[in-house]
Amino acid sequence: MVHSRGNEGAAAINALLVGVVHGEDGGLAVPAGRTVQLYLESPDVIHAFYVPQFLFKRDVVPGRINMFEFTVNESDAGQTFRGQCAELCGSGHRLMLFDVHAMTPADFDAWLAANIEAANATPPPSAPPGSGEPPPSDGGGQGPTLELSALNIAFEQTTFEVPADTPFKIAFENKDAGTPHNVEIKDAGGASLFKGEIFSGVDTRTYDVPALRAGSYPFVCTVHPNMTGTITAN
Amino acid sequence: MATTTLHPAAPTYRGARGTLYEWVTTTDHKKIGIMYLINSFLFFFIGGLLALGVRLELAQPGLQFVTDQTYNELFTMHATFMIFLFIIPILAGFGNYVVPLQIGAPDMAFPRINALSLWMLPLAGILLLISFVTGGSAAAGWTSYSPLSQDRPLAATGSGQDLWIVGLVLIGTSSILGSVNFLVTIFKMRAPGMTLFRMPIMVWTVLVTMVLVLMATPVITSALIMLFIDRNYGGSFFDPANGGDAILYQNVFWFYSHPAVYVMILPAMGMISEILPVFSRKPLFGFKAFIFATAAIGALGFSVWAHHMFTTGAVYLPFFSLMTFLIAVPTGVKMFNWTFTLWRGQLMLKTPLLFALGFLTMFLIGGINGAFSASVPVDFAIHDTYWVVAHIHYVLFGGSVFGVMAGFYYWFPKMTGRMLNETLGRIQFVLMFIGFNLTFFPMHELGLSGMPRRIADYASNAAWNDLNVAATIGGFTIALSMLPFLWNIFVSLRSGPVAGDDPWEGNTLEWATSSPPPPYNFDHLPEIRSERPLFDQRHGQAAGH
Repeated sequence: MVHSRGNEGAAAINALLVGVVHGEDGGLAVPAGRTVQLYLESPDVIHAFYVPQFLFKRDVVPGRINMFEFTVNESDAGQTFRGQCAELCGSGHRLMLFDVHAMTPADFDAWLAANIEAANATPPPSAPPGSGEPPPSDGGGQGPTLELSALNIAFEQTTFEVPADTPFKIAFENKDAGTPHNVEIKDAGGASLFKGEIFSGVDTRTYDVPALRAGSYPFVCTVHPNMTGTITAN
Repeated sequence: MATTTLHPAAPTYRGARGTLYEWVTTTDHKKIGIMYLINSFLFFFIGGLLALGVRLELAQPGLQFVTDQTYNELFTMHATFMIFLFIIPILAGFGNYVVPLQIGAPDMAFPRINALSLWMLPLAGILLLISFVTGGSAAAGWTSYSPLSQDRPLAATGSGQDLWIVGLVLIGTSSILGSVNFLVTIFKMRAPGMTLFRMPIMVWTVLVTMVLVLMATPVITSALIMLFIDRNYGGSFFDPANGGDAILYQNVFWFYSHPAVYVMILPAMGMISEILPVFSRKPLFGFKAFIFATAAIGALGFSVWAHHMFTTGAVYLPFFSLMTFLIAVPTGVKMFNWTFTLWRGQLMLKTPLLFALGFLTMFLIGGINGAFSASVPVDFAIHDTYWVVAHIHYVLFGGSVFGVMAGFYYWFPKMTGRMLNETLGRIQFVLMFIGFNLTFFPMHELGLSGMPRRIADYASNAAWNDLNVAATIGGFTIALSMLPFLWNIFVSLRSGPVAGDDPWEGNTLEWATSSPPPPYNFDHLPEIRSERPLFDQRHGQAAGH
């Protein structure tokens, strides 16, 4: 049984789940050959869960929980099915992409068990498990505190400079009422180096970011990948 | 009985042009009808430019020209202008011009309300246009689903959505006033001998359309007002974040917007039903069946709205699927009747008939691809994909726009006293037909292969590139076809051949007076003993019915 929530942004279908049932890279992992129940909830606007190869879509409507069942054929284990939001949801609509990874039942059970163990073992950090960063401590980072804010689905500041090899903080103010944002820092190749906790506005959180080597790093909102900026570490 | 003799110098269009003041203050249904056409074509071009913006962006993967927000504004306002300021009003405009003439009346029942209905439209259009420069237009789609259309940053940050609501309420009011006007005119002002079953099909389709307008438009007006209250006065009708119901908006919206699509097609079907008999030199096949089929479409049209909501999980699927399939029956009756009208006719392949044939073939495709969507499991796959974009454009462009063009070429001589040029008309038809199919036929495949609607960009490895390029080329071809159209109007008004009363050897009463008609329409009326009074007059008494 899989509990999945729809939310804005590509990897954000990943983001609100209870840690256990995420796919590796922002997708939905399901066991082939078994019936999966998908519960669809939205915290903001109407979306639609659509996988073209399933020939199926179902709306994700705030204020109601839609549920449907599906079974991926056992013979399709190992395949990844591309999914995309199919109900206009704002300026990030075209970017709301996801994958459904069908695993063999054995692989899925092993993966599920490993994730449950990992979720139980580590205390809830501000980044998902496995990122390898130390838990935040008061008076952490010797580096600067970057002042960043988001308004109207855009970062208000888009370029920052930080000293290289120094942990630093981001004081992030989400000015969009009722809208989830975060800050995710990626390397030039697109791998995620830091993913701050997603929270809804109007609110402020401070992220502790681990040291970055010298170079240029794009940062993005995981929920709305059209919100972008650049951090340069000197 | 006093008879009025037409003065020998009775004005042609040029003479009847009148001053600007006369046009602006007129209550004459003919001038008002022409102004409906002018305003509607203006918004057709604006809506078309917005569509070109959409197609330009989608031609290749990558966001080349506009931001996501601007793209959302483009398709939202494209649909809004096309539906509310082009198709619905232009059909009302043709009705305005033609219906009083076809029933032998001197004007509409309420001429001043008629003028009011007209002038509300450019006013609403200006409000909608202003929104582009006051912080951005509405960007939540013409369907404007809540909560995206609520006051939150996701869809629109400025007053665009509010201007959109106000504009649409104005247009809806214009429609409702017009519907009362038409219904009273048709029921109370027919000439002696014109029983209901002798009224031309054009008048019947306008009648049923106006019943739909009267019953359905207040419903969307209420949805719009409730949305406005949600956005501006702390209401919570449709916003789940405040205890409202998002699905409620969709139900109220579609309860109007589905009958609205019949508002957008029925008068065009009426025009085709006038043109095919004249240009086949044969009576309309199954005249009474047409009347009943039109009424059936109107009635059934109120029972299918939730087929737009199959994927919400909040709809009783079997009922709405069944009713949607059922509506294909009266529509099919019409298709067969039109076909049998043409069968073994002496076809005059003039431009009105070309566009009518375009209507028949293209609307057939649109009806068939719509029938696919009526099946719930199929709809689960193709809802909100480009399949639906193909469907709506095959019925609205292939159907309504081709119908409008047919009607325009047919009645232009009556309105202006001049014939439009046939060669330019054929060039326009060929360019438009090719461009239209090149634009929208690929969208069937795009939808089937999973391309959703309303996306500003798509993955370059989705195999959608070539079809999108084809669609963009088609879109610009349609734009190109507007050039011979506009040129044709310009040269024909100046120096087209004089039309005379009845250039097409028509069957109905509008051809029994001068082109253009005098302000009071008829000097005298022929005897009305059938649905073809002019044919009867020309060929001697036909069997009355």
